[in-house]
Order: sequence, then C-alpha cells, then structure tokens
Amino acid sequence: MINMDPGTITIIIIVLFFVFLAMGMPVFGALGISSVVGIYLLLGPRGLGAVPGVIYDRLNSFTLVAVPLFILMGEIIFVTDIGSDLFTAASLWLNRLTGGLAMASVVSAAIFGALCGVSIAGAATIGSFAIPEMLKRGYSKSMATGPVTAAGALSLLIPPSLAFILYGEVADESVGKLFIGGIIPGITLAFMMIIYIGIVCKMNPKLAPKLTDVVTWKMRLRSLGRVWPSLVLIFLVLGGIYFGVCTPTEAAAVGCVGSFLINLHRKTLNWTVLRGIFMKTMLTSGMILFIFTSALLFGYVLTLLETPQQLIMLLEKAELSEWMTLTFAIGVVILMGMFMDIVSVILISTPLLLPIILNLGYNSLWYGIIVGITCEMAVITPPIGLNLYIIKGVSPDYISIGDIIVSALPFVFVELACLIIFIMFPELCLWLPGKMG
Amino acid sequence: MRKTLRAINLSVDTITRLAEILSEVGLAFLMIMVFREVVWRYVFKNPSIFSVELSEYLLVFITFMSAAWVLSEDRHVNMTVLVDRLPKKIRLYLDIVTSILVMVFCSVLIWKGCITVIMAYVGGYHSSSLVNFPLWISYSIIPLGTLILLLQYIIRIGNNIKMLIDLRKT
Repeated sequence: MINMDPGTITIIIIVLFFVFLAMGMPVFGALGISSVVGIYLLLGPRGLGAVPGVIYDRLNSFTLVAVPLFILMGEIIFVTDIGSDLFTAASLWLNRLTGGLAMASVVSAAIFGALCGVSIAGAATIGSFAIPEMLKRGYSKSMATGPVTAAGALSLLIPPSLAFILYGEVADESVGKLFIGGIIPGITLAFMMIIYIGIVCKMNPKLAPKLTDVVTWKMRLRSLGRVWPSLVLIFLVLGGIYFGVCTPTEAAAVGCVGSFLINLHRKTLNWTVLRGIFMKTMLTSGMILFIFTSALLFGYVLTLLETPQQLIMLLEKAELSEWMTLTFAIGVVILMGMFMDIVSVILISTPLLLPIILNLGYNSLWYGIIVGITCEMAVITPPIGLNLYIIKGVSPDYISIGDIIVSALPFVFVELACLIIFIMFPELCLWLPGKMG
Repeated sequence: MRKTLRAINLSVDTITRLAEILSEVGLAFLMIMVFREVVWRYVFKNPSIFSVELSEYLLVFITFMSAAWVLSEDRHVNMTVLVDRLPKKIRLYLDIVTSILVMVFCSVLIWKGCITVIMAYVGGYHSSSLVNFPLWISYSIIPLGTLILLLQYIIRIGNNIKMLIDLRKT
C-alpha cells in the first residue's frame, strides 16, 4: 500500500486529467481514468470495488431522466418549422425598428430557447433562415451573424435548460427552482442584447438598412396563428413546474408528447424523420450522460480526498477578500468555458468551486444561475465556442469563422454586464423561484 | 487472417448497433412511461409504484447501451485544439495511447461491475421499494455496456493501426 497524503494525490489526478485532455482523450475517459488512479493511490486496489456502485447509485436519479427527455423534445421541435414561424412573426412585429430583423432573431431564439434545452439547436434553427434573410436585406456581416450566435445560447438560461439539470444534480439543488430562476436573467439578457442592437444600429445605419415593406396589422396577427401552439406548450411545461403540478422530468415528458402532437397536426412526421429524431437524441444524450457518469466518479474521488475543504483552507490562508474569491471562482469558470464544452465545465467546476461559494455565505441556487449566465459566454468565445461553429455551418461560405468570432465579441461584453448585474443584485434572480408553488 | 479480422469488426459493429437500437427503444419507453404516470396521477389520481423506479433503470440502460455507438460515431466530446496541430502520424499514435488508457478504465468498470453483479445475484439483493426488483439485473447493465464500449475501442485501435500502415506505404 502506497502512503501518499491526499493533497499530493489531488494534484496528481488534476494534472493527469488535464494532460489526458490535452492528448485528445474523450472527457469521460480523462475523468474516469484519473479518478481510478486517485482511488487506487488513496485506498489501494480494494477501493476500486466501489467504482460501479458509485456510478450506479448516482446515475439512478429520476431528475436526470429529464436530460434525455428534454433533448428529445428539442429534436422533435427541430423538425417542425416552428423556428421559421417564430422568426417571421417576430420580424413582422419588429419591422419598424432600426435593426428590427436582428432583434427578431434574438426574440425568436429566446422563445425557441423556451422549447428546447441545448444552445446549438436554437442557433442552428433560427440562424439557418435568419442569416440569409438579413444578408438579403443588406445587413452587414456582423449584424447578420452576431446576434443569432449569442441569442442561440439563451436556451441555456431560459428553461428548460440542460445546464441547470446537470448543475442541480451535482449541486443537489432543485432543478425546478433553477429553471424558474433562469427566466428573469434570460429575459433580461435578451432585452440587453436588443437594446445593444438598437443603439449600434442607430449609431451606424449602414449595419442594418431600414425595411421598406408595408406590414399591416392583419399580417402581424395572422403570423401569431402559426405560433400559438408553441406558446401553449411553453406555458404547459413551465407552468407545470412553476405551480408545482409536476416535476421537471414529468414536464419534459409532457413537452415531448405535446411537440409530437404539433408535428402530427402539421404532418411533418414519417418513419425516417422519427428514426432520425430518436437517433440524434440518443447521440446527444449518450454523450452527455456518459460524461456525467464519470464526472460523478470524479466528484466522489474529490470528496474522498477532501479537496474542496483544502481549497477553502488555501483561500482562507491567502486572506483573499470576499470579492476576490468570488471573482476568482467565476474567473475559473469563464476560463474553463473558453477551452471546454459547457457540460464538462459545469460537471468539473461545480464540485470544486461550489463549497467555496457556500463557505462565503452565498446560496447554491444563485450560484447555479450565475454559472448559467457564464455558460452563455462560454459557447461564443473561441477557441471552443460551439455556437460559433454552428453559425459558421449555417452561414454562406464567404463569411469566415473569424468574421463570426468578431461579430459575437460585443455580445460577450453584453453578457458580462448582465453577469455583473446579477452578481450585484442576487434578489433579481432569487425572487421568482421564491414565489413558486 | 484478414477474413477473421473483418468478421470480428463486423460482429462488434453489429452488437454496437443493436445496443443502440435497444437504447432508442428504451428512450421511447421512458417518454411513454413518464407521460403515462403524469396522466394516471393527475387525471385518475392513481399513481403507480413502479414508474419512477423503472425509469431510473431505463436511464442507466440507455446511458451505457449507447456509449459504444457514440464512440463509433466519434461523438464523445474531446478537446482537439492542441491535437489538431500535430502531424497525422503522431495524432494516430496518440489516439492509440489514449484509447488503451480509456480501456483500463473500462476494464475496472467491467471487472468490479461483474463482482457487484455476482454478489447481488448470490446474495439475492432486491431493491428496497415495493417493486422488489432483483438488483443483479440492473447492476449488470454497467459491465455489459462497458464491455461493448471496450470492444469498440479495440476496433478503433485496429483502424488506427491500419491507417498507420497505409501512411507508411505512401
């Protein structure tokens, strides 16, 4: 039996994890193998007997069932043309405003976010027709791509959100409360983006030429006709959670059945489409759940090693002020978000950083929402910003990935401003979940 | 020799596809079961005892049964910023090294997982709920799914070696 103190083992496994990651090992493998090494060094070969049990017990969670179900709901919605209907309706209602189409892409992405939980779906759906439409109307490259790239990520913050389910599960926080808590920050962020677009387009009219087509109130009202089923679905899913009628998992199943009904009504389903929906859902869910599985093991090892306590002691010894500690923690999350996908960021950073935050006297619901806002930045900052590549995929070829990175950059600052608001005024995001039934 | 290799390759891929199709079916069941439960509870005021527990088992099932397929589609998330800058040959070597390391993790899961299953079977463990589900069945999902993942990793290493040989030829 090797005798090593927990501090050394912690450093070894964290270094191993990053080395493996840099070598291109899948995240689940890097987490798994460094956990196994950690357990072996701490408890010897006998300790490894606990590995399957730890995974089994923690994966066995009804809350987690919401992950595949919400992904399924998103995929079912994806095959309807709800995305384009939302954008058309929003652009008819906003057509008088300068930069109206860009604003419409934000609004439709936000509403789409309330129907699905992953950031890429929103960006891909809204982007694929909003971007060509804006370019056709003479919008500049940056105004045509930037807003959609950033607003597509709103689905991470606006419930249902996969980020919140995963956070809730690791942090032992109510997913329902996180969902409801994400509503106000999500809407605030959408409004801040719209205001930013308005100001920039007013200052530089070349970015977004004014639309000249005549839009009547009749057209506007008619556009709502195709949108209302999705609004009802949003109300059912979120209302059910808010009023305490059902758990997020049950709401997800209701959402799936509801979106199937919309599909049936629009006659967009056939066997091939159905198989595609289930296959894509399984790909995404399998990938996320498997990372989750080994992240659970990693979290278990860190608890065994008492890593969070050691970190807290270290920070106390450094005598950092409350603000410094908070900035440090959020800085780490932002930095990780630049290099990793958000699923890994949430699952790896939470067990390490949450104890520090709780030790400062903050609440884990608030921190979860802060992490959610931080993830908004993570998906649009290079080198690993999933939304950037998604938008590149749905844009015309002459728009380069560099153009998209630059066009999304101002929105990183809008999000940073939003983050600071909710850090300064925690009541803003804690108020609504406090009123839940 | 070449024929046997191709046969092994094909059979592992078939098992992987089969496991994936089973997990898709599991997903459909999951949706129907949770929805059914909502209706039964709120409309008929008659909640069932098995729904929550069975959906948890199904979740474990779809997670582990789809893992090998996600690998064969190369969709397990990894960080490629650094690796992408390396020459192809080194990239292939690195992939073999990391694959072997992940296989070590898989082996631990399979080996210890099998012990857990045997213990649950011999000891006659059942879930502590009213369903009284025999636990060796649900425990066996982890070693089984991981075994398919391990087999798929062997195929992956084989493919990498083949690509390395092809690279040498050219």
